[in-house]
Amino acid sequence: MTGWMMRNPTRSGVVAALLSLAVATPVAAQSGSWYEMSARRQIVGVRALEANIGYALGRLNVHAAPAGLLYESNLRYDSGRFEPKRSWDLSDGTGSLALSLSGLDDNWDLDELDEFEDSDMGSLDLGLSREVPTVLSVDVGAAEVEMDLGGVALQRFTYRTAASETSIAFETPNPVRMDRLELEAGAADFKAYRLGNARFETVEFVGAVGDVSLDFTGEWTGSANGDIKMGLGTLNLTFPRDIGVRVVKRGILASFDSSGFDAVDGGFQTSNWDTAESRLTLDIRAAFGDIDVYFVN
Amino acid sequence: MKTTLQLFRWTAALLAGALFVGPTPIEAQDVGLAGSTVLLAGDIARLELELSDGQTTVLELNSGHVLIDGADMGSYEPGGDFEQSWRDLLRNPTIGELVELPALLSGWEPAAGGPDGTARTAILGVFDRFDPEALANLAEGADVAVPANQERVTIVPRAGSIGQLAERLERLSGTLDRIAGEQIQLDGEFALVVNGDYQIAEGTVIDGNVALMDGDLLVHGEIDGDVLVLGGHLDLEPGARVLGDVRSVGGDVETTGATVMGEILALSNIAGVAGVADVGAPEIRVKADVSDHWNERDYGRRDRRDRGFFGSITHNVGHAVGGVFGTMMWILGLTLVGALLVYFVPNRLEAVAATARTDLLRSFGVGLAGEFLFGPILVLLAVLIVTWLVIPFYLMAAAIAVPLGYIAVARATGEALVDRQYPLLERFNLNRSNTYYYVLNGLLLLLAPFAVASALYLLGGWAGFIRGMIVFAGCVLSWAAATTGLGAVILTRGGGSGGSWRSRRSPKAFFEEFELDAPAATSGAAGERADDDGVDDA
Repeated sequence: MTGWMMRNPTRSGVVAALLSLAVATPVAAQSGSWYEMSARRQIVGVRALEANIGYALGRLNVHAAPAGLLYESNLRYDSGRFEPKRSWDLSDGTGSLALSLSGLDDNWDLDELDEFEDSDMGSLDLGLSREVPTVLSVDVGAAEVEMDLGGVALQRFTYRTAASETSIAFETPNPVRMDRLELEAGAADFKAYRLGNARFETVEFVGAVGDVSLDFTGEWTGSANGDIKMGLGTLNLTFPRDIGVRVVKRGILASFDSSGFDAVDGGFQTSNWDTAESRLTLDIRAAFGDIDVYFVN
Repeated sequence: MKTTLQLFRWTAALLAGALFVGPTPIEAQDVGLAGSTVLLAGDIARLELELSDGQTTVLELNSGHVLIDGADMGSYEPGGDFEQSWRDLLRNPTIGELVELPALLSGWEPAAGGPDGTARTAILGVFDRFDPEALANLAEGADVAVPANQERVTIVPRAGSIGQLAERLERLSGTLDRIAGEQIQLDGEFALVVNGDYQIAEGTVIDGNVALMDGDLLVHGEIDGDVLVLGGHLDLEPGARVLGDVRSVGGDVETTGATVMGEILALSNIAGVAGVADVGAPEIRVKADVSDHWNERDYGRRDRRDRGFFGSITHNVGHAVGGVFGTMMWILGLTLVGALLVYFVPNRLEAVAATARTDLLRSFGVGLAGEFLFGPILVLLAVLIVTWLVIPFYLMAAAIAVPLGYIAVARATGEALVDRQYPLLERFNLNRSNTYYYVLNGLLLLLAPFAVASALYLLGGWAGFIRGMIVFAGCVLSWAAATTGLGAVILTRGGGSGGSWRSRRSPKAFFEEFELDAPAATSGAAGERADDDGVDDA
């Protein structure tokens, strides 16, 4: 078979669909012009922030902003291929920031996507406040995503991606309690580290195809529960030994490594469930694949 | 679009300012003030007064000389107290306000004595030309005479005119729209437009928007509006305040210790594209590291990709033709291999094909098992050292079995296709009971999805998802065919044994299937057929 026949058609199809959807207006590609747009806003008169980020293709980096800043962003893009859109609104002390980068070209070629290198795709570097409670929503097409959200005051975090290589970490504790953590990955390589520092009350993960790692270590300050839905692939779960974990697993075609758990009515739980200060209850539904569990100190 | 509107407003404000700095609205005064324009740049500090009678008087400090309407009226010490007080006068925000201008000028007290005395006398002599009573009348009547919608504009151009500044803003709006659709929201009117370096001193409050072009802006004071800096560096010192947004194009913004109520946005070109200069945007700094990287590694490819509308069509047609041609080459190559098999080992190919066709599921299952066991068996052969000599034969057998099986399945598929008597096949004269045709027809069918997917390139990028799905279906179909063929090869031991297709069928079915004449002695039916033909058995 020719080379393009042998490539992963599913992933290519997903990427093509995303990019086709991302470009609502067919605009002929203009001559490539690379620009760098940096924006930042000080914390003045803002008590809460709602940030909606959309990023089609490239490298996305999200982290905590320096003290005193509500946000800072640095967007590097090819204006001949992509169009940034920004909006800001302040109402009753709540700021609403929308930032997106979508494609201009409706003639995306899968072969060319394969040829893209990092320097071609551009990047978005986004810093968010440590002081202002933030509701963050990030939608990513096909990107290389790296986030260290440690220290960012996240009240709610929603992340959706189609075909990305994603790494999300909470290296330091969230200054505020997060009411909901929603993660959604299509055909993606997805890794989340130190989720215990996110201080979430509810976590939800939906994965279609790919290898997924969810690391729940960190400084737990309360109990939480969550739902994990996994289609096809390997799911690696890492728990700290000092929290109580209860798992209810559904799906007969997915194997579950229950070592370290005691079988209880309707599921599995760790032996310290009754004595642990923090507890995590997970309802896992997996269609095919393996669910591997690791415990760390 | 909002950018265009906002910048259009700025441009309109500039032009409006220019217009209102024209003929005086004041009535019945033999001399009065109709407007003022200030230029502060380097060694030049100029005040242009437009008089009520349409005349213009220009007072200028230029490199140690006081020029009044171009005439050298005296000297002063550059950088001295006199120049400083003169510049302070020109920086006063109220100098643009027609109502307060007479009072401001009449109340100006420059430093006296020394070498500055000559200049002081010359300038005050000009101010004396304005009759104090007339100035008072002017001040009283100004509120009525000045239109309510008059823009208050102070222009500090180092070079060029209001029209040129307006033109630059207009071209900038086009640039911003083109590169990013960036929405620069700078509401309100200008309080200050500067061309060149400028400094806003501590304690100074600029009531309105500030724009600076081709220079650096150093702010110690307060700006009650937005700030736009084009092609320069903006430095907001600790304690400085900006109540609006800060926009910088082609420069850096330093805000440590300062307060900005709005957003700070900086836009810069990092590739040094000629197109920006074409529309007259300010000079934009180029980051050498990125630019070099671009030029060395990516320029060629980028240039190829930016093909435009017609280039895209050509590109898509090329992709489609290339893809279809590539698929046809595969079909041709496999057909040649199939032809060789038909010619040299027809019985084996036939046996494998018949098994694949008549025992499809079993062949597929065996083929699947063979694929799974291929690796473990290879490992086993490698571990058992004495079997190392077998490994080359094992690999060779696998290398022969897969194409043999695939072509056998193609043959069986082609045969089944012909048996169906599709009108389309008849139209193209493909319904021939010939093993070569069977193979060709089967390969055309199995590889058709790839040709169709290639042809979809003609529809452009939006068909990418459908194309991907068809390619996926083609891959699955090819894999299933190869797996079934492999199973049939295993079942028939390479086509050497009859396999299940012979053992499971009666001799009659076999002969009927292949339209052969059965031996008369073994089949009554055949004998009957012979009788029908009218041949006498006896």
